[in-house]
Amino acid sequence: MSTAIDARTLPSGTVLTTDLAIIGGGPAGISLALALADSGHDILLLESGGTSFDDKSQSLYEGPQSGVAYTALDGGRLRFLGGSTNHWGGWCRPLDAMDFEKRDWVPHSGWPITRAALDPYYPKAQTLAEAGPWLYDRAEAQVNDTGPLIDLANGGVYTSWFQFSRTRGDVLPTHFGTRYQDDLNRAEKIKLLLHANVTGIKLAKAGGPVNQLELATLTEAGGADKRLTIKPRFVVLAAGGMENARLLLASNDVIKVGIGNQNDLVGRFFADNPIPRDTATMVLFGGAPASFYNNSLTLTNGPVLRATFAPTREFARAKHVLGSLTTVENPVRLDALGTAAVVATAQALGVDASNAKAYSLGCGMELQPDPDRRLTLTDQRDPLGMPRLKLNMTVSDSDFEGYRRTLTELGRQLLAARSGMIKLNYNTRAEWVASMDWGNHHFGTTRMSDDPKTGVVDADCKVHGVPNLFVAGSSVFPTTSANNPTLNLLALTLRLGDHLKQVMA
Amino acid sequence: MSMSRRDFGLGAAALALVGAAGLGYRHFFGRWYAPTPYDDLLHQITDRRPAAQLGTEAVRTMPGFEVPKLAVQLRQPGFTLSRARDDATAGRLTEVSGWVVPETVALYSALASQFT
Repeated sequence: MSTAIDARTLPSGTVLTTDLAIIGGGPAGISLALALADSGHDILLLESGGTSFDDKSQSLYEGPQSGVAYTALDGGRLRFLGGSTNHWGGWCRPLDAMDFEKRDWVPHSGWPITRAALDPYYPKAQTLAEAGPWLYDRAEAQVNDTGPLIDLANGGVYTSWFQFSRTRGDVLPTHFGTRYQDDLNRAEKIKLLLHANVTGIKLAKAGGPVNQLELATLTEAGGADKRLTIKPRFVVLAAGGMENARLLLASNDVIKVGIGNQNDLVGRFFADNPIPRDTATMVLFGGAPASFYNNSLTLTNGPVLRATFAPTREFARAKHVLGSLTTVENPVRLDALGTAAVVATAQALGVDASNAKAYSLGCGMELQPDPDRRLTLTDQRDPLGMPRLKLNMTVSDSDFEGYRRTLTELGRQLLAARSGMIKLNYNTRAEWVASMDWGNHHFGTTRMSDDPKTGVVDADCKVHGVPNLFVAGSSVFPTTSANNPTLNLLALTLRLGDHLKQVMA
Repeated sequence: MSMSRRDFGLGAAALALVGAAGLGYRHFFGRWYAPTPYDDLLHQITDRRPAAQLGTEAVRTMPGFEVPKLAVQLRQPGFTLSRARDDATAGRLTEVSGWVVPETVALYSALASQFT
């Protein structure tokens, strides 16, 4: 059993060699290291932070922004072991087959792999996330005793399901650092190096392999301290959707535009899942819905579920909408017009609405890929000398219009079933933007494509033009879907693990 | 023969019920609305007050709204208020101040708003 090494205790100038260096100790990095623990290769897992939050380390994430208001760059991610699983909500849902397809109404869509490529890896990903037995769209049969589904007539929206990373004691939900540090320590071939900030990825030559990583540590006061070097055979960048781009762009001593950036793609297509609040009011004529709509439901055999409304594949194609997952939130009181609308409509439909209840709806949305939604380097430097990032955030009007069509279809299906109705709460861009939170899911900045002109990494997550550099995590997702990324990036990382076993042999 | 106070009260109540039956329930116990040329349409609405409230907003979504033209439309065969039950299936929906309602409800409500 080995214990984690604190890079700050190593002499400056230390050179370490390894078969595989994994940059980043978040869910991707930890899962990849564990997946390769028995491969016979020496693995160095480099985590920039320690095992708990430290404001000096966290401040390395700071950077300016422009465009649509967005979470501060040091606010939506965490720089210590476990990464952003230290503050995730545990929401899990696998990508749908359509998420991988080229959708002719979604510019820049299409993955070079299909959902089938991830299918073998989802069970293990589900286990790592501790999300219980695999149910998702088969969950309905498990909840019969709890209450009926909301009655929707046939149409473009269906009831789907989230599962949640399991609550265990005071760890809520699975924090990968806390949960898996012992496993990392037990693995003989894995060395966990904490407080090790990668500041440069060095290529032997243009078109050649990575032959060196430069590392730096922080002093207690937050200044630059020791400089270390890693000499790896292979490197996986797993530092998150923002930092992956930053490291590639800033590693520009051999390729002046940055590694993997010959086609000006690194940092572009940044994406997140908008989470607009109170997008609509849903009235159910018959009263409150089953509890699994507006709260998570724990089944006796383990899984934690919550119902959601998703657009069908056919509706998405016909109406040109993107992914969305609509959730039932808090009860709300109707104003006089709302009450009048419900009474007039229910009477015309011939239904009794005397017990009607109204609820706010929330949502997680997919954004259209946009090359101008972008991370770039600035002239500002952090204490380690790394250029800080700047984010230009965009949301297009068509993103809102598409989701509005999905909500309207949900309302139509409720009316057709004579079970309820909805009110759309936002009309203008300003109203949507004012209601918006973000998932802090960082996608797209090293997008995947078989063609180097349209992607930074190939279908095996290898950086185009660099034989031994790979990227793990949701930065390789060309499109985001509305699904929370952790389960999906875990599956993709496990697939990368299998690929590395072959190429490193 | 003298009438007790109790008998007088019972008699007055009975007279009121007979009157209500004769003049129409709504004249005594419901809201009463002045006759209109459109009562054949308006009588389909169970409760005109909420319909009128919705209709005031619905009219804003109807450019060139005119009651006679609307009445002609609503008197087309099959355009009774119960048509609303099929509107959603047929995709006939109107958005009124954000509320997604059957088109038929919006039209009848718009009419109610002019006479309530």
